[in-house]
Amino acid sequence: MSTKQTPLLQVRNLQTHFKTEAGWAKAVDGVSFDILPGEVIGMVGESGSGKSVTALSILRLIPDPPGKIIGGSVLYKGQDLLKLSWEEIRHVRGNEISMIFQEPMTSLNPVFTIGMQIMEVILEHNKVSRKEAFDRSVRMLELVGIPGPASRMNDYPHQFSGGMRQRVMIAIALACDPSLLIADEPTTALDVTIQAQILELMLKVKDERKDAAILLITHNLAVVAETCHRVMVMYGGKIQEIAPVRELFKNPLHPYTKGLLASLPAVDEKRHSRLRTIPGNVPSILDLPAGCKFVTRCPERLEKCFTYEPELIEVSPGHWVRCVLVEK
Amino acid sequence: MKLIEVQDLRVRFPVTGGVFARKIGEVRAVDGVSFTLERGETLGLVGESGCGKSTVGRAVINILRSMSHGVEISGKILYHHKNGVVDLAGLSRSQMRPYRSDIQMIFQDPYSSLNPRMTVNQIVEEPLKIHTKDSAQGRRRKVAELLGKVGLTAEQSNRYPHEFSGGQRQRIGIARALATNPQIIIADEPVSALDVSIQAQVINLMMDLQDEFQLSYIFIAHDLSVVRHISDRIAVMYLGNIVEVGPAELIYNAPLHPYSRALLSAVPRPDPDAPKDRRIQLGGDVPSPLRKPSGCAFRTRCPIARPSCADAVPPLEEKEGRWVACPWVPQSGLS
Repeated sequence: MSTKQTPLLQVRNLQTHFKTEAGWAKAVDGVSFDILPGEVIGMVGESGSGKSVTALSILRLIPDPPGKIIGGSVLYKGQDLLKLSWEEIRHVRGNEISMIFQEPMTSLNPVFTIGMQIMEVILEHNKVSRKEAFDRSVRMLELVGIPGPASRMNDYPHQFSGGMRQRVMIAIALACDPSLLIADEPTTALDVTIQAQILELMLKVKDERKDAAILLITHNLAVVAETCHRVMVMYGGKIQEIAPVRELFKNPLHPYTKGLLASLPAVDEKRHSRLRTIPGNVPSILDLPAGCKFVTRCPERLEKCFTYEPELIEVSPGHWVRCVLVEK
Repeated sequence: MKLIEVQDLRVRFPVTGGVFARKIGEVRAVDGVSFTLERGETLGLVGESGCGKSTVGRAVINILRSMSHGVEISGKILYHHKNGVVDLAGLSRSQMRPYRSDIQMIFQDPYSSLNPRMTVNQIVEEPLKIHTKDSAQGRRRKVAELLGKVGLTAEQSNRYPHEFSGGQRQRIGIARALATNPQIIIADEPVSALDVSIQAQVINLMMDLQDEFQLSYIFIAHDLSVVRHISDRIAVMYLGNIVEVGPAELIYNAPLHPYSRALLSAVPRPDPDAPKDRRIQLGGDVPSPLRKPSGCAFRTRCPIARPSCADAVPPLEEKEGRWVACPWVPQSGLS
C-alpha cells in the first residue's frame, strides 16, 4: 500500500469535549489520521483513551449535550462531514460509512424482526421495492453466514445467539455497500472461537469490495496483530504512535506502546514468571497531565515531559511517534 | 496434598414457563465433572460462555442454592481440611459457615461486587466481623495490613468504591477475600473487566499472594493467554463437561481433544507474522444447554465425529500425560 493514494477519510485536528460537573473533559484532543482505500486500520487504547469518541465523532453520533465537537475536520470524499446538515449526514450514515458496535444485543431493536431491521436500512437509502429489499436482505444474511437465511428473516433478535447477532449487525452495516466500516470492539463480547469467525468474516466481506476500508477499534493487541495493516495507539485523547502493524510490534517506540506490548503474557514465556507492568492507573480525562499525557506512568520520562507535549514526528516512513525521546 | 476433590458433580437449573411458572425443562449446566485441586496449585477452568465453568466455581463455594431457587446439585465436593474431610455439596447454609472462611471468591466485576455505601475499611472489615473474634482494634490493624498487601494506602481506606479505578477496586476485592485467611480462592474472570495494562498488575499480585499465603486458586477465565500464565493445570470445559485436563504446558502446546485444539487455535496472537492458517474453524455455534446433544456434546461441531459418538458420554482417559474425553485421539494425521 503506497502512501501516495488519495485517502478515503482524512481526520484533522479533531477535538471532542464533554461538559461535566467538574469541567470540560477533553475526550478527544487533536486527533489526525488518514484511512486509505482498501486498508484495515486499527485503533487501540484503554478505556477513556478516546477511541470510541473518535469513531462516534466521525459520524456525528456524539450526544450533544453533554458532548461537543469543538474543532477539526473530517474529510470524506472531499466533503467535511462536520459541516453537513443533519439530512446530509443521515445519507452518509449506513450508506457511505457504517458502524458496528460492541453489544449486538443492545444495538438491535428487540421488537422488530431481523428482516425488518435490514430492510429498513435498504429502503431508507435506496429507491427499491419491498420485494427487492427483502431479496437483498436475504442475500446479506447469506453473505454473513447465517444458515437458512430466508427462514430467519421473521425471527427476532432474542432468537439468535451472540455470534449470530453480531453477524446480523454486520449484514445491516454492509447492506448499502459502504466504503468505510467502523467496527467498535466488534468481538469483545464474543467467545474466542466466535471472535475468530467474525473477524474472518469482516475481512472476507471487505476483500470482496474493492477499496472498502475498515477502522477497527479494540483494546486487544492480538486482534490488531492478526487483522490490521496499520495501527494507531491512543492515550489520553491523543494519538501517541501510528505505524504499519509489523513495525509497531517489532519496533515500538512510544514508552506506552512498549509497556502495553511487554505486559502481554508471551506464548513462550516461562509460566508463573512475573509479567511486566505499566505502573499506576489510567488517568481520568478530567485530570490529564499538562505535558505528555503518559508522563505520570512513563518509565523513561524526562523533567520537561511534565510541562511539554511533543508533536507526532515521522521517524521512519509511516511510523509516527509523539515522544521527546525521538525528537532530535 | 489434595485440598478439594470434586466427584461427578452435576448441577441442573430448572427452566420455568407459563402463568404458574411450572418447570418445563432443565439446563444441565454441569453434567458430571470431576477434578482435584492440590494445596498451593492453580487450576485454570477455561471454556466458552455457557460451558458451566462459573457454575463449577459457585458449586465449590456452595452459593448456588442461595442464588437460584430449585437448583439440583448431585455428586460430591470433598474438602480436605486440617481435621478431616467434609462433603460441601450436602451442607446447608449454617453447616457451611465454619468452612466459608476457608474458601473465598474474587468476582469479575469490581464495580458491582463492592457495596457502594461502605468505605474500603468497612468492606474489608466485614468478613473479619463475621468470621473472627478479633477486637475492633485488632480488626483495624488487620485491615491496614491487608490493604498494604494489595498495594493500597492507609489514606485510601476511608474512601468509597466509586473513588477508585477498576484495577484498584479489584485490589479491594482481593483484600476482602484474603481477610479470613482462606485456603482456597475462586477467581471468576478476575481480570476480564480490566484494561490491558492493569491486568498484568493484578495477575502479578495474585501470584505474589499465592506464594506468600500458600493459596490454592481455581482461576476461571475465557482469556486463555492469562490462564496459561497463572495456572499449573488447566481443565477445558464444553457444555457442562471437562473434555481435557492436564498440565498447563501440555494443554497449551499439544492439546489432544478436538475442542481444545480448536479453542486454542482460535486465540489471536500478538504477532503479525503468526500463521493464519493454523486455525481450526468450528462450524456453527455452541448448542443451547437446554438441547444438549446426546453422547459427546461436542459431536455436532467436531471435525472427527463418528456415528457412535452419539451413544454415550466419553469418559476421561489418561493419554500422553493428561486426561482426555475422546476415544479417537491421539489420531495420526490430525496435527
